[in-house]
Amino acid sequence: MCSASLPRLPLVTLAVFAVGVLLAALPESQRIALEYNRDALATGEGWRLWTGHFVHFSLRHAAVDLMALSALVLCLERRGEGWVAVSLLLCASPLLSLSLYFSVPGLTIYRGASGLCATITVMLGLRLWRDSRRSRPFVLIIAILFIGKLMGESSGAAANFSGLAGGVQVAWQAHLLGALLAALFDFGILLSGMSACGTFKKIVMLSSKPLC
Amino acid sequence: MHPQPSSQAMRTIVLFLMVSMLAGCTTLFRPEQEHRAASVVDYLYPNASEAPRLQPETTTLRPPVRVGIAFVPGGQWDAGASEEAKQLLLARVKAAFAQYPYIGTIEVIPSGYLRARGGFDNLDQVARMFNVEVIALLSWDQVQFNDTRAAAVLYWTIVGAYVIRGDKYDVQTLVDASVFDVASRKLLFRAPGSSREKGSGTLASFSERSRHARDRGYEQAVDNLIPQLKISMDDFRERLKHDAYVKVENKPGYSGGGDIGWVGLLLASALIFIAHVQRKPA
Repeated sequence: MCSASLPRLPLVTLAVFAVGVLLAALPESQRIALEYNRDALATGEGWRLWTGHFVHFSLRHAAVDLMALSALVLCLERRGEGWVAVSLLLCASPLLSLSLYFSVPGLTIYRGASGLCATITVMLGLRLWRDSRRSRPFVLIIAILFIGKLMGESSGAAANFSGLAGGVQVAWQAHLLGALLAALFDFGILLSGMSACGTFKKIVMLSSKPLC
Repeated sequence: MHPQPSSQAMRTIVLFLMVSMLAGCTTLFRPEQEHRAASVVDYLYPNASEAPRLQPETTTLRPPVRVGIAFVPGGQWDAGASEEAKQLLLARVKAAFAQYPYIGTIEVIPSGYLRARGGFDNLDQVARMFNVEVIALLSWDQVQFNDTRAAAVLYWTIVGAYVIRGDKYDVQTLVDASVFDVASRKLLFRAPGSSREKGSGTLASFSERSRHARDRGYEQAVDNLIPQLKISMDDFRERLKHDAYVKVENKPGYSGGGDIGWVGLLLASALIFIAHVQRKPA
């Protein structure tokens, strides 16, 4: 009854957006303490594995990334897969950071949520591919465009279109690793029959129930 | 013994002429126009009889870029501002560009390291010596016009030479910064800065005053150059987006932005739209 009268709040989306805005509003000196920093990570500042994905270089950078991330998380939440979003954000963030740490030694500083966006986009694409035959052509077109974007970024051709602050290059490796992580996650969830994330799902389902 | 009257008159005439010449010599022999210049074209293409042919090769920039700044050597004895003044001016330019994250180190290169009409070979040597990838060469062109006022006639009174400001100067300075990529020898961008200093002086102080005016001319031209250079640099960054011959690459130790960009946002939106349509009941 209660759920029929009150629309369920997209709690995960709201939380992600609030965290993003809060961190974007922080002064630069504090954002530096939260960014992915290779040297700082080596000295044990582990929180950067998570927080690096939620701080940005500029307001424009934060706005575009947060818009995309919030919309993607909302989409998953609307599909009743808020738990997937939460587990992705919590698990993919450090895995992505660690992947960057070991595979891109030249990258000393990283900020931005696009790696996570790539993870959720690929995850959503895979789900749509499986769920409906009708959507497949469209998903395929988007996948091709995504690969084209990635190739453009890696070749440096699209590097100049990023609008990032001077001297900051697009870390396309984060997008590639994010996409690979999504594929692994999806494959893992399929293999385990969602049992691995079952606990997570229960927690999120309970927490996102409307209060009445 | 009294001197002969004719001999005394002769002495007086000679003395008068000597004093007159002493007072007037500076005015009589000061050039109406003085010109000092150092051209970047003369420095880089000293023996060019025709326009240099550049191969359309790709210039690769790897931020943070190591930059050198130097004044083009003049090749004259009186080569513009003093070396000390030049270093101070270059330090001012350096300070104005130190905060840009895509500029790594900025090395101020003393004029002594650049050989007049040294060409790109000399530029390569200097770039290797100072370990820079891009060099900003500051060329300059200064013209000083000297004019005499009607009041200068009072110089003949000798006292007037110390009191009356009978000479005018008009110093026009142009400083031009040309930024070159050393490896590809390509001009990336350029910016001008100019100034005009007017003033006057007595016969005795004119030389000193005009020299200070020339120094001030360089200072003001460089002050005028700095904002122009910033504008040119921003334009260059915009131009990079469409210039197929300039490529920006990462170098070890770079900062990476996880930027999904507008294209990524569009793709994600398209996917979200498909998901939304799929959820709708048939």
